[in-house]
Amino acid sequence: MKLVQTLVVRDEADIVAAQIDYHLNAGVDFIIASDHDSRDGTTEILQSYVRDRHLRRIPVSGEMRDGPWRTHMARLAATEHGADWVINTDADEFWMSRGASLKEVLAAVPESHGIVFALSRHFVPRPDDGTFFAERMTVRVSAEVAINDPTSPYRPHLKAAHRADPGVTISFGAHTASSSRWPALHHWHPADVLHFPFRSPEQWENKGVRRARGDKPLGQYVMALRASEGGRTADRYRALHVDDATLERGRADGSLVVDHRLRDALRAIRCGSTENGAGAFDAGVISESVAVRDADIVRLHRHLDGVNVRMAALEDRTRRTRAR
Amino acid sequence: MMLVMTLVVDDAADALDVHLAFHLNAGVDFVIASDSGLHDDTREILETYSGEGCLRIFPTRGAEETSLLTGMARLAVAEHGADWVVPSSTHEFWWPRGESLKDVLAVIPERYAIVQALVRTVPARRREGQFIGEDWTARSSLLAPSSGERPQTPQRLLRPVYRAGPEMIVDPEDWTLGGRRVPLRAWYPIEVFDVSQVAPGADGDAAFDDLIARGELVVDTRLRDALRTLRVAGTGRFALPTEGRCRLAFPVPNIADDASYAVECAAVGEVDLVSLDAQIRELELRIAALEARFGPRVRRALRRLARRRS
Repeated sequence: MKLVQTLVVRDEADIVAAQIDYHLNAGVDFIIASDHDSRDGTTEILQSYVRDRHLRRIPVSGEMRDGPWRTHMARLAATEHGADWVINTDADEFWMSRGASLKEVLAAVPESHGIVFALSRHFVPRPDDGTFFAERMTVRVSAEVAINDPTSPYRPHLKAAHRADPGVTISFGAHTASSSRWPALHHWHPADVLHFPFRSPEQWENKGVRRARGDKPLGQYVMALRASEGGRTADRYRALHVDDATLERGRADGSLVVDHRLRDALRAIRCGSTENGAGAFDAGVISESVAVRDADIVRLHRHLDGVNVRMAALEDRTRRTRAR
Repeated sequence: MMLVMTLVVDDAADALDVHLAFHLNAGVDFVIASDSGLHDDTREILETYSGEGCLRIFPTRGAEETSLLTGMARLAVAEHGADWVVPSSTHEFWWPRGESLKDVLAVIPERYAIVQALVRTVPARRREGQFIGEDWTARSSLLAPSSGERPQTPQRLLRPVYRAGPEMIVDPEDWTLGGRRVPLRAWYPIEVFDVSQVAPGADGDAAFDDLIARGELVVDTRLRDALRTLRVAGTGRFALPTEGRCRLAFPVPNIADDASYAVECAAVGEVDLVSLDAQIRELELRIAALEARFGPRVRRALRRLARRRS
């Protein structure tokens, strides 16, 4: 089986090499990366993997077009790189399968299905002591129920992997994939996506400012932009990061858990281990899978509210036409 | 961003003063307050704030509720440039889960026209001579053991805040105007402390303590503590923002706070498969009604076209 990874990246020099090394050690055979106007050394890092023939870099610029870029890469994986399976990633995401390697769990998907979803597990910022992010960010959210705050970076969500298909379409953020060839296998999550969205005040500010002005200004980015414009980045970031007292409280009520999986995997890679990235089962998966389902019901209801507004406008127009 | 509060005033002068001071320090820029023939002492407070330039009195004698609320909201838009309107009464204190009310509302995605606030009932048990707000130290919880025994419609547990528009209608019974406005469901970035109720078992602290011990009430001193910081010593009055800077610093919830709040938001029961199913069925009926209207018209148009061609 050939496993290809797609990657959308912009100015993530602090994490991108670890992300690529991790996935190459976890069974990924080749990476296609859309490099969006990076200026912080990310491009040079990507070029080093190009030289080693592990990666194809696609320079992209201008307004962010997340879905189309991901779709283009996923199709290239099928048409030009002989992929059997494709995982769609961001630079701050690490796919970690459970119980077996990534390739093994994907090979276990029934032939009748071709799209599966990994469960995102969000890691929280910890006090910055100058160490590498994976060494200090070892706490993640494990909310009992979904946090449905549209401005929260910790809303439950899924990331799509799929069998290679020249006609596949990937959504914004790669939360869904659609294919005329392959139906999706829902409610079974073969892997976790360990997600490290915010790692330092500077990175939070830069990412937020950029994305708030992009094609889909999520509330979490608008919040960072407002903080930056008001000169309050440090204060607001403090509310995001989890100090020891919050950690203690979160562990007691089960909303936070300590998770060393990525730290240990990266340490093993640095020591030359042939670590395949397969993580152990954790019971939180069950409740977090339920939270994803509940969050999806909320998303659907909110979407339906939008349809209702359009419907009401149509009814009003019809009424006015009849009245004439 | 301009945040205007429309306030239906009743005759409770001391509550009015603390209410206005709290909200003007919580991010509200301007207040439009109804006057339906108030007592002199209440009117005097309104005139004091009006003199400060942060309040306008809206005469309302005899107005029906929807037209009163709508009138005040439209005035907020037309003459005060409101982006958001908070319709309040004097016993409601709107507490942002963020740095200020403005800060919370500014990041709400454009598609949402209504933000809902979660009601917290704060039973009052004020003693003779005590400052107002000193007794506001506990509130209801949706996780109380008996909350499941008293099922309430989600709307009774929530209050709306509206994104402003020149032709907006504020209907207290139908916030979305039959689905014409999109509410932010299942997450409530503002809490409303409702201080209108007298504590159950108000005959003594023992009954109150018992409610806390049984988890029917939870200790929550946020409102009392905030009001203490606003009190101007020796005057019995409350401080207003200076040079546009609010005096209240609201704590921004961290992830552990949000995780625990999410459990209460879920307990409101606004979104589940049953309500989703009901909404889809209602939509189907409306589509069927439109089809029934359009079908004959389309057929008639086709017949006319066919006749012309023949």
